[in-house]
Amino acid sequence: MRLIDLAFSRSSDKGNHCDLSLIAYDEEKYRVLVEKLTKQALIDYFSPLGPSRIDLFRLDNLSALKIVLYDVLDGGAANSIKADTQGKSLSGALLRMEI
Amino acid sequence: MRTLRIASGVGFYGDSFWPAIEIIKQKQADYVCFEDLAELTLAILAKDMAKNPEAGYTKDLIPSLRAGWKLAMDAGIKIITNAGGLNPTSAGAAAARLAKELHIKPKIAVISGDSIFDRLATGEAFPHFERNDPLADGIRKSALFANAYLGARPIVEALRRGADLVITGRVADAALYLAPLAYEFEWDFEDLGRIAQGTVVGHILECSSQATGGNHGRDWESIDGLERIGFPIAEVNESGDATITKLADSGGRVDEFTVKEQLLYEIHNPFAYQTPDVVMDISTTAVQQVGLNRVSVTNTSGHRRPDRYKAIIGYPSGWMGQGILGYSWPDAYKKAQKTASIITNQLQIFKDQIAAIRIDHLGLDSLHAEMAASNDDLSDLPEVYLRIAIRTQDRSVAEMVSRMMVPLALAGPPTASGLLGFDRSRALIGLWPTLVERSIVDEQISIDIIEVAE
Repeated sequence: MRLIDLAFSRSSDKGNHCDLSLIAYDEEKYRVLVEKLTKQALIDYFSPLGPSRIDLFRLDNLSALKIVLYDVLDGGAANSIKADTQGKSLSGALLRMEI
Repeated sequence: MRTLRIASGVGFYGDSFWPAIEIIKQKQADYVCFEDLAELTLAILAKDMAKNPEAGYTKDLIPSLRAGWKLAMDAGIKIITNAGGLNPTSAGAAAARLAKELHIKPKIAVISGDSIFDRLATGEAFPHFERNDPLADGIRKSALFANAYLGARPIVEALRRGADLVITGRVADAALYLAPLAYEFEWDFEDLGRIAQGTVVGHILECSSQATGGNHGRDWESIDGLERIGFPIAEVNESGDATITKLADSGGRVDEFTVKEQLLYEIHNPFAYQTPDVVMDISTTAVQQVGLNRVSVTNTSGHRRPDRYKAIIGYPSGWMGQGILGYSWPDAYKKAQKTASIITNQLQIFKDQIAAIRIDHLGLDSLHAEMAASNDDLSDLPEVYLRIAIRTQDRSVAEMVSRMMVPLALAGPPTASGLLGFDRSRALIGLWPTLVERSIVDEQISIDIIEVAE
């Protein structure tokens, strides 16, 4: 199963870090997310971006997770030579992840 | 219980202000707050100000006031904006000139003092707020701007002095929306629950249509009326309990998911979102649909505000040069690859000056880049656009990318077409986040009132 089957996501920047939400479609799907999506799995999946650190926060009250990928935006919005300078499309890359 | 209505004016510099004008026309707000300053916006305004010392505030400020200010004055709606950018004083003067032209007599408050630029020369360390290493000399000497994020208190004071329009420079985004709540309800800034609720309201409103169905990931195709999307309006009571809604006849949607999505946006640690007024904790926040296009947001927790202000120092960080060139079937991808290899070889003569080269294929891998899905069969693509971008400290080297790519229309693989995006050189700007003592910044804050008489 892929994350897109369980949740939706929006991502953006803060400095050189990419900040993503992962919001479950319902509470049952949230429980699956919490059980299956580990920090280690995120570290492995996002390794092509070479993050210096990854944070994963759990918000039971909102049935949502918060993920922060550190130092993955090529220097940050005004400093990046990537096409997606702010990591706005990385939500889609997250949702393609298999768990 | 008394309720105050706070509306979103714009969510960034360049956003449409017409949804806010519609809110003013229909008198569906008591305050409209225009949030113009993303992290990189001051970099844009710094470029303007380098050319003209009277510039440095957003070019949208005066057109938006021209469209809605008189209506707002007539309806008793107050406007708060950080569109003053790097130059709130000039913005205030321009607004005063406009008021005369519109035959209105507002009190305009101009809040300045967020700039710490003059302090760079004092040799203070300004350590990086995450890594803690001191500010490098090169950055210190070449800095373009340096501004602290102020909180809501100076805006509260400006409202106390009777301002109809408050113009600020850099303030924390949510503070623009917290301030009118704290002022009207006379909230104590030590009342952390209320201040956190006021901040959460600001956070939900600060990106305009991102709370009302714009940029929505769940079921975006089923959201009607994006061509006339309404901006969010928060109805907030004295306890800080809020209901997020929008104009009844506007497009878009306010539901549990659109609100949650914005609530979680760009907050990093949701248990400790740092603002100058409070450390916000949304792990207790309740988000609930209470009607059609009505969502309640309650019970946010707050912890004591940080001891220091966050500040960002912007500095020139070299140049980007880029070119975008299209190729069509047959062998579109193969042709793009060949051109990429020709340019990469030609750029070798500048290899010591080039810090990075990017090869992207628009429609295939330019956005997800390293995370792009692999394509099994690239041999039969109808077309592909090749993008080559480099990073360098030397502007003339940056310009070589387009100089080298354009001739390949004749000299390279066949069918080069769609010479769309030649960006000869673009200035790159780095941001250095740091923390500064509150007292140092607070001492320099000034609130000037301009009373416009006819």
